[in-house]
Amino acid sequence: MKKQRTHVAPAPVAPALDWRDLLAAAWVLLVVAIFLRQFLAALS
Amino acid sequence: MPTTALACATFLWIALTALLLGGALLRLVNRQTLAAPARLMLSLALGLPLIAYAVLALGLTGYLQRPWLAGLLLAGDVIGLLLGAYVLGDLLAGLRRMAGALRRSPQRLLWWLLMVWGLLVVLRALAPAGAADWDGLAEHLAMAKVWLQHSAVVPLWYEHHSQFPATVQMLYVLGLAWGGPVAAQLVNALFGFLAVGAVGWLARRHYGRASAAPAMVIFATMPLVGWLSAVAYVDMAATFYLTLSLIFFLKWLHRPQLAAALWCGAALGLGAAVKMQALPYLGVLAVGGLYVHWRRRGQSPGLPLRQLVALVALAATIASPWYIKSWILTGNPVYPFAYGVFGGKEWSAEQAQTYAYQQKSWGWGTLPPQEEFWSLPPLQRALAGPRRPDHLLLAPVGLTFLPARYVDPGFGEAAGFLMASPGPLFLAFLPLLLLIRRRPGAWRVTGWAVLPLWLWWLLTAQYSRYFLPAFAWLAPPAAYAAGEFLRRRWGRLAVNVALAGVALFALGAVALPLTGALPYLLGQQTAAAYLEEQLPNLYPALVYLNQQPGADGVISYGEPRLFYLDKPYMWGDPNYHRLLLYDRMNSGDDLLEAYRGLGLRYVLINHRFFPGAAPANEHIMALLNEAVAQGKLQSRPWGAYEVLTMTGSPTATAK
Repeated sequence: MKKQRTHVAPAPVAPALDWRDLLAAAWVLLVVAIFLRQFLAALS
Repeated sequence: MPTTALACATFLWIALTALLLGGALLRLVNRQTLAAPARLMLSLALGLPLIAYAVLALGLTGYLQRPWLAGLLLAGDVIGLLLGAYVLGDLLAGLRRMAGALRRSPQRLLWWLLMVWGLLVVLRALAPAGAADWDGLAEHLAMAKVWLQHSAVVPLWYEHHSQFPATVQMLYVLGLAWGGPVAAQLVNALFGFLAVGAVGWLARRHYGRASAAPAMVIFATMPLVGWLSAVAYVDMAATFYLTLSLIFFLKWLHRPQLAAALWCGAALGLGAAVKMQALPYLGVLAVGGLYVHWRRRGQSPGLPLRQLVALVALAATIASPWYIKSWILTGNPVYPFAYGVFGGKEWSAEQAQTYAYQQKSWGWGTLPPQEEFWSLPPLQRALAGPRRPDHLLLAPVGLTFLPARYVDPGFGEAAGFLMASPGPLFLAFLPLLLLIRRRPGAWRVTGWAVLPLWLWWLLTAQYSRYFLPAFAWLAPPAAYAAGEFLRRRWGRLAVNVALAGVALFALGAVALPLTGALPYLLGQQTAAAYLEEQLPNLYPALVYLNQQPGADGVISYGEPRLFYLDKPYMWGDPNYHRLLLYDRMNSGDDLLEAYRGLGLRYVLINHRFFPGAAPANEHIMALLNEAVAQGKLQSRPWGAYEVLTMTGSPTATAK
């Protein structure tokens, strides 16, 4: 059976701001950045 | 130095024999259906220590000679081919599966990363032990060489580590028999790969299929793992067995069957047969099993106590030969630890105190000088330096960002990051578990098991590699947490950036020492020239000593890395043993007389570490200087090193 097309495209839903996502991303990048910074400081 | 080809052939002989023998044993003890990679891993997990224990038996009976060792391997080959040849099919299947993952897996980038990492580790291991291999040159390779020279596993009273469990060192004996240090290093690299594989297995089985490759990458990209896989230490083997133990422990909790309990016990026992630090892991899992048994009383499925007893009994039985040997030889099964309880030959309360002080000095914080430290009230002493409460709480941060604090000061800041660091991914990913609503059941068990191990580590010796097995346990939950955030917009970006950045850093850390080894590996430099670069002044001094006629021995101060010395030798520093009672010596003549009694004629001093500021060392240096001033010792400097030779005729036969 042929799949029916919808006549009306679904309205784009703006993703809710996921504070967990943002917090996790900030934490991960912060840790890696401090690690690399400390390493560069150790080199000098 | 044996050629690289001979070293590789020796390693392959050991590894294939272990695989076949382990396959034979696996077939006898376990007929359950396992996937080919698991069968491969377990075959090696059983075969390698089986060979090691056979070498130990030869060593304890005085047959540690090349013909016997070759006979042992050949016998293993025959038995293995008769009963365990099926693992060769598993090996091919495993290689095909790996090739498939490299071509088709959605995570193929991670598999390629692991391949490149493995290749770099092998290349590192192909250069003979150098600057990065302190403990290999001082202890693991060195004691294996001395035992091979003696044709027996004998107590080396100058070297307390020789009383430790030495399963991996038995394999190093085999490697050294024909292939030199490179064969031994390849055996250790194999344990490194097995540990990475075991982390993948743990992740796949208990945290979901998608966690396996990321968990392996998180573990392998720890600078600690890159370093410890490329030298001749024993930490990777201990980590491998302790990771296996957790796989089977979790399986046992999930479905309490005797087979899983016995596998867990066997892995814990083999871990304790490699390194004493496995004992707390055994304790934690045993207590954890007891707790779960109590929690599930009257429920179905419970956790049968008799299975727990079988687990502990098997672990104790497998590890026992080493602890019984130490008990018989020294009077202390965990020599030289727990000196207050067991005592120990050629050891003293003073040496035990100095040893404990050294271990307590590792970590973020500075201890007061030794005398002052031991005179502190107990509570103040317990919370001094690295055990200050705020430093204890912040230790995960310290370990990640100040790794050089968690090793010997000689490492230096940069090497702390490149070699001794756990990397940033554990601190980056593990806290993400707090932000996830549904956490896997395995995490609850792992988290509660790691907590007492972490406290143990904090309170005893905050040395980064001593926590490595627990890091292997934590890599799968870290991968799981990162995986959960891969599904979200910003988390995906951050996790990918972190993994890519750390992977590049880790590959660089493994590759960096290769630049120095390339001329040797490409055949443009001799092994001697390479080692002169790696061990400046030390290697030429050892070669000079090797060239001296006679069988007189060497005593070394401030320099334990004597693997390349072919003469009889002993460590001389007063903290190591009580063979020389320096405090009773009042003149250079007293010291020389004591040397003669031990068959020693040469003195090697590394002035970088000796005499230092310790009064006991200064006393020895004063006695040596007196003998030099009287013309009874002749000095020959080699940079920071000095070789002193007794004048006159050679001494008595070396002890």
